[in-house]
Amino acid sequence: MKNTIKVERAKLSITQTDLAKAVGVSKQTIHSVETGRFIPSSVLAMKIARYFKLPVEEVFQLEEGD
Amino acid sequence: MIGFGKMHGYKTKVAGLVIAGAGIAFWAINSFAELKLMPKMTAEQQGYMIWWIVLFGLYMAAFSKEKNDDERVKAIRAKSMLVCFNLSMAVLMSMSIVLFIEDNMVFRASDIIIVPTFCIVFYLLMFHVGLYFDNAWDYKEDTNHVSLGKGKTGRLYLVIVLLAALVLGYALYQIQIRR
Repeated sequence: MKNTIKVERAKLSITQTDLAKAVGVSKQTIHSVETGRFIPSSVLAMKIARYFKLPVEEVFQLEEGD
Repeated sequence: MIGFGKMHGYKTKVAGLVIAGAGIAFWAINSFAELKLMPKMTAEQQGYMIWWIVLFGLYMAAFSKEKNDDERVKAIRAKSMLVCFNLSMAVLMSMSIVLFIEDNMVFRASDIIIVPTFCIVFYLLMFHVGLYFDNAWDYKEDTNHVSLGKGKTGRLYLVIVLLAALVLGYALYQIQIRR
């Protein structure tokens, strides 16, 4: 699963720490999600999308093989 | 204080690490200057007691939550506990075989404590590798199936199992030559 968290963060000029605090997880978790290493739960994905005021499928997209 | 099926707060982890650290510090000092905790205690009894205190501290640390116990931490913990459970079973089954072959072998309390110590130390090692060395951990592997030697976590698992086998073999050898 790929995501556009890094792009959306850049648009808002916020750090991983800011996003982590806003959605209630650690900075390492945001880093792992951003790099595509950790697939977040649907709840966390929705919280992240809500923070960016975007639909979930715009922030997270399925890849072939998912 | 320690409940089963319940994770304790982060403060318990800190307290556990302090207890384990104090035990290790006492053990280190004791190896230079022979301190006596209680006047009638033998060196072996004191050594066992210090080991038990260190183990209890590590046990408290192992079954406590992290400061920010989010879903990534829970995923790492689940896989680490699975590996630790497998390792515990392997160690106990190996010991059972040794006892079956060497039917006159008697384990003392100070020998038996080796098993939970290794299991807790390896669990803490594996869990913290996942927690702080993101590149060494593969989240994509199915949590319910960690293949020995396959994938990043599997390779880490293999190293841990090999280390455990080496240390356990050495411990059993030491027990055997002491008799």
